[in-house]
Amino acid sequence: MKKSPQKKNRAGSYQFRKKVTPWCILFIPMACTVWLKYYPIFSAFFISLFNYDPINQPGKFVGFQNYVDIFQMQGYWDSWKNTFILLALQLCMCFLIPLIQALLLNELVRLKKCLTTLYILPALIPTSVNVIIWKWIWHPDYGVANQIVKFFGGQPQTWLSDPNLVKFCIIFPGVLGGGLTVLLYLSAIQGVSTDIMESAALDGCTGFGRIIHIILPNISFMVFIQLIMCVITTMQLLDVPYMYASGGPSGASTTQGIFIYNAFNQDLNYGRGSAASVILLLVIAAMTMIQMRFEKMEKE
Amino acid sequence: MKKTKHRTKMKLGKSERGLKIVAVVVSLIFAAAMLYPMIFAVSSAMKDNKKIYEIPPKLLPDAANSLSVVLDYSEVKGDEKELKDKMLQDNIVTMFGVSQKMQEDSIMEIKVYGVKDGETVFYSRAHQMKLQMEKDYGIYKGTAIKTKVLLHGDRYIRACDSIGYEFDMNGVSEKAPEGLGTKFSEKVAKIMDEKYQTTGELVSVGDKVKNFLNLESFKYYLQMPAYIYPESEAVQNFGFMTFVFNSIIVIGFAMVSQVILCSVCAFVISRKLSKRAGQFVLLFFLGGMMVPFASIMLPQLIMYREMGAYNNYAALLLPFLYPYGFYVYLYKGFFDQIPGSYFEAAELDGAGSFYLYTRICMPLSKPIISLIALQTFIGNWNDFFWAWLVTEDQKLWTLNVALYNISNNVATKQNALMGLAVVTITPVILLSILFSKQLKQSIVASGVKG
Repeated sequence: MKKSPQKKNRAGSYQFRKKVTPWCILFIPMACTVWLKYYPIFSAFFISLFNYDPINQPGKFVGFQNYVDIFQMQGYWDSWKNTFILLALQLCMCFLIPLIQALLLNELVRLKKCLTTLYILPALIPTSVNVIIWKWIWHPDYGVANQIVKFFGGQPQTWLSDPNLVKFCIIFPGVLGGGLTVLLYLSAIQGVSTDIMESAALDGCTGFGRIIHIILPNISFMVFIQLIMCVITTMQLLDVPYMYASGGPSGASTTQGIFIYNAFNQDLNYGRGSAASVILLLVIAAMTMIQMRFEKMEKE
Repeated sequence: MKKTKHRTKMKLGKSERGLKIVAVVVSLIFAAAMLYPMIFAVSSAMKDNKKIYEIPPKLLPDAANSLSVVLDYSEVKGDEKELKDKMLQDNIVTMFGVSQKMQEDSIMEIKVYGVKDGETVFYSRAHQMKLQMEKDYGIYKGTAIKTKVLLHGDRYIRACDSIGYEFDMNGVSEKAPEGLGTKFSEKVAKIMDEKYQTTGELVSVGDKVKNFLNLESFKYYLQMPAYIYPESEAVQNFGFMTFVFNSIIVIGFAMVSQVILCSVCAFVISRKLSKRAGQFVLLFFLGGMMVPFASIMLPQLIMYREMGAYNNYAALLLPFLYPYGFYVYLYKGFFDQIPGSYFEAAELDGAGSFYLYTRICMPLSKPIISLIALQTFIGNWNDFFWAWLVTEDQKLWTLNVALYNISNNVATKQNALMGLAVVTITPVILLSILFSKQLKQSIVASGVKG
């Protein structure tokens, strides 16, 4: 009788320890995540409420004045416009290419292995290298692009220095396709059950018919996920336009990311930059939500 | 019966064959289009400083010429020291003069021999890129190539030391060559006679086609950062390798920290927590990963600056110190599949959590570790903006930052830039071809773009 509470107590402490230990181990990584990832978000929101002064922090409290300010700025809306034009170009010119490559790759027999490796390479070439090569191709005097234009009897262009063409020039290298997306599509295509394929073949659905009527409907989910991924990544485009044209000429390639960067690097207006950050975060979060919703739907 | 079967087969074959042909042709066009920029980069890297600015650009570089100039000093009076001084002067005048005036002729290498009384007493050799670098960033930066300018002060001595030479009154190891082509002898003789007069008498000029000299350019491209950024000691000593080294440190650290951190987290989530708590923790980590960089870059920079993590390795490495949610997710999927009886058996024998993790989980998860390491590499190899924001010192630049900065330097020649670009991607391309099987598996297994 006397022993029982003690025993219970000891068992309790064991249970308690078993429950607490994992959290103790997880504490450090979780704290680091909060510190390095979640805290900056709140910090961005906090800074956006101030007329931020880096020396006498945090400066004057202005409420939502920064948000009102950027909504009235022409440059801000221009940068959204640029972002959406880039997005539209990306979707029109580049989005379907990896899908086509994967569909055709699936039909090959001998070249398949070799070409798959080749298609991975663009993913491993860093943007800086790509930019160096393509800047040279777009060069107005010595570049290949103008030679091709001249060959077809057109007028030489200034490409990256032309506000009307710069967005096209930034997106165009993606037309070559490749990258990891091809592999993802390919694995999705190979995942389509052979039963369906065989029964379709018996019914006379072969060749292009098979691609259009059988394969595409079966991988439509993958295409959709990639579409959202493409939208999300293009929305936060930062290094690529920056390295090609540093947001110029005359702001024609200033995306949201570059707008934020310029706000605190050129205008030294931390509050405004943070306000733009918060809005971008909300937009991207909304898109991620949509993506997750669809992924969940597919699982069910 | 047999005939109809045959016919249907033919009919099936027709549309299939159409598709096959289209697939092969279009795929090959894509492959060619994708290879073109790479081949173009390699060929541009091997062109010389004049040919790179040729219109229209050629796909292949020209043949590289090696030029040997023999000067005779039999008539020159004076002791050894004076003779040497004269030879050094002549050496510089010849090299820079010829390379300046004969840019059209793809002269990639100039050798200068000094002969006295039938004995070769002086030998010096310079690659065109070396001369170009001295002209663009080095001793002769921003000067006109004229005899007086070349020989002003102790410039020629420094230049000779930088190029390298041999001098010995008893004869040097390299002998003046004979039986070379004489394509350029008249031209060189004219140039030297008119503009760049030497003390020694011009005896012969020989040329030879040596195409591997185009490849030797790469050696000088790698040294080039040392010329562009002479103020940084590390870059001065190691050239382009400084940046390679930095990239290796950053990516290596990222790989190690992600492999360890994520596995610990996933182990705890998978084995120690209830399902609901595990789900919650996983979402917590995944949420952290989905925050777009563009929107936290500013506060992150302010925070790091306040901590003193700015313009040092801490700033480059700290961002990898939290577990990427996606990798935790991948690990968890793997750990969930390890049979629970392993752990129960070990626990009955009194094994602690640490033992379970190090002795049971880790040895079993070799495939997943390589997958995570590869994913981390693909994901961070391309990382530019953060490293660019936090580094000011050249000695901290990673490859991407360095390439971007060098490409923005006005004096940089395009062939050098392409050369550095090629040097950067070649090892990665070779490795990816070697490990293409693992790479493909890891990409497909992860299912999400790096």
